[in-house]
Amino acid sequence: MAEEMIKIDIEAIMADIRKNIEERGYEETDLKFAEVEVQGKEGTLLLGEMFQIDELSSWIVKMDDVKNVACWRPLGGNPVKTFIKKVIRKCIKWYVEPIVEDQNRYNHYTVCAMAQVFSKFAENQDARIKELEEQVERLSKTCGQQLTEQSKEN
Amino acid sequence: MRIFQLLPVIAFGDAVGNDTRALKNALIEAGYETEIYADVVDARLPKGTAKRYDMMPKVEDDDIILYHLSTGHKMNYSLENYPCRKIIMYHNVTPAKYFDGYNRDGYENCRQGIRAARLMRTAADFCFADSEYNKQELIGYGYQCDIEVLPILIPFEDYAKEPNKKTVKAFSDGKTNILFTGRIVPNKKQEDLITSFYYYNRYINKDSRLILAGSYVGMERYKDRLEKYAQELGLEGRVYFSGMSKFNDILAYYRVADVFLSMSEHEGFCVPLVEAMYFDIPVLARDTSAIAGTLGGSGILLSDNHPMVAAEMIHRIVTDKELRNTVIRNQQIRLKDFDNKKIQKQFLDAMERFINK
Repeated sequence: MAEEMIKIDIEAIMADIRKNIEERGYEETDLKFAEVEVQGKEGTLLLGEMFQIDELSSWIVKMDDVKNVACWRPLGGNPVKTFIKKVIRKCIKWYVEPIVEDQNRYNHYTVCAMAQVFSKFAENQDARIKELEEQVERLSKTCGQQLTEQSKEN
Repeated sequence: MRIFQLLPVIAFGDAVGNDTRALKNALIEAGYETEIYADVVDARLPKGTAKRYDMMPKVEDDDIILYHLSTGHKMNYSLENYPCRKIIMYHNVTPAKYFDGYNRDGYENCRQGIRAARLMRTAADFCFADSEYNKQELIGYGYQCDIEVLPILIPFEDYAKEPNKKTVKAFSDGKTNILFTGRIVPNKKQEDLITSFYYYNRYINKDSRLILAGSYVGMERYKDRLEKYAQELGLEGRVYFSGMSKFNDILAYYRVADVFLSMSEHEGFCVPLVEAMYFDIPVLARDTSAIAGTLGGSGILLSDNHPMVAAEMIHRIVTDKELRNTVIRNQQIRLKDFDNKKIQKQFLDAMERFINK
């Protein structure tokens, strides 16, 4: 014969629980999960993320802020080490500076291209919003006319 | 006559992959000629488990295709082109809305999966569904063929393996461990687990911990939100995200758990509920989707979803020995319904009836 489950009196337990909730004096937390937001972490590529135009704009602004790569970091600290570094810099300056200039030029073009991409998305979004607004207006007029005709018949 | 099991991806260690392999073994033992074909075959699977879909031989009229449907994939649309009879094994497709804002590919896969599930109703000659919930979903999509509920085959023999001793030791520090195993995805509502735990930890038992054992690959933003949420609730250090874990770590989490808590909003079956039953951990779960069906009268279903109620119920289960033992006993009875031999027999009987039709 198959074993049978023992019925648990959930209602009785719930009555107890409701009493305990009152007695414990819980304070409902104001924090709602829906209000918690996070930004993408530095160095993390979030593949597969949903497209959000505001996020595109925010990344382009960040790109613009850091597009100019500095050739040389400020020197400081031990004077002997600083002197040696200065000498090394003088020796390789002819090689490094043109490369950095090329990189900065590329960075600038990339940011400009991204800004154009953003403009196109924004333009498409604006056009779509306008289209939907016109559709809503047409439908509202049609509904209004139909309601007027219906009330006349009644 | 050959039986081909088809699925887009056969992964190592996931429920659908395990089920497919177990069904193959059952078919072979019963003397059928059978093979698994998948578009992607996980390299971690034992050699010979499955073959690539492009290596599938020409399908004859008297063959049978058993297609595992659980996600969006171009293979879904190829089913109707086969000349043979087709069985769909429906594992449920998560509603796309849960991936909205988090993972574009996940969103699109689910949207396509549900679209395909509707379209495939005319291709199916018979269906298996993991749960009554999944069966009703197919009926809602317009499936008119016979649909039999067949629980997922679970490799219980794997659970007898040794857990990671270091992990067991690390979490056996006297704290009350509340566990949920499952991917970090919005349909599993980990934020509600955290909220319930907040009330339990703050008002009832400060010596407690919430273990969220599951991968968050592809859902990093959701996981970051959960972490920040836990932090802002003052739960830093008390909510543990395991990430993708080795199997012996998962075993360890089950060994140290005092309660298994589920606040999932959408599940097609929920294998972790059965795992918790196996490890004699009392289950406390929100009553949604397939949860009640899988628990089958065991565990405790939350009739009120308020997190304070969940917190109090956790406390009750942990402290009331009689209730705890009753829940575990009921779960042990229910666990017998998932006995592999029983499900394999049900499967083979259904296949025989279908073949002889």
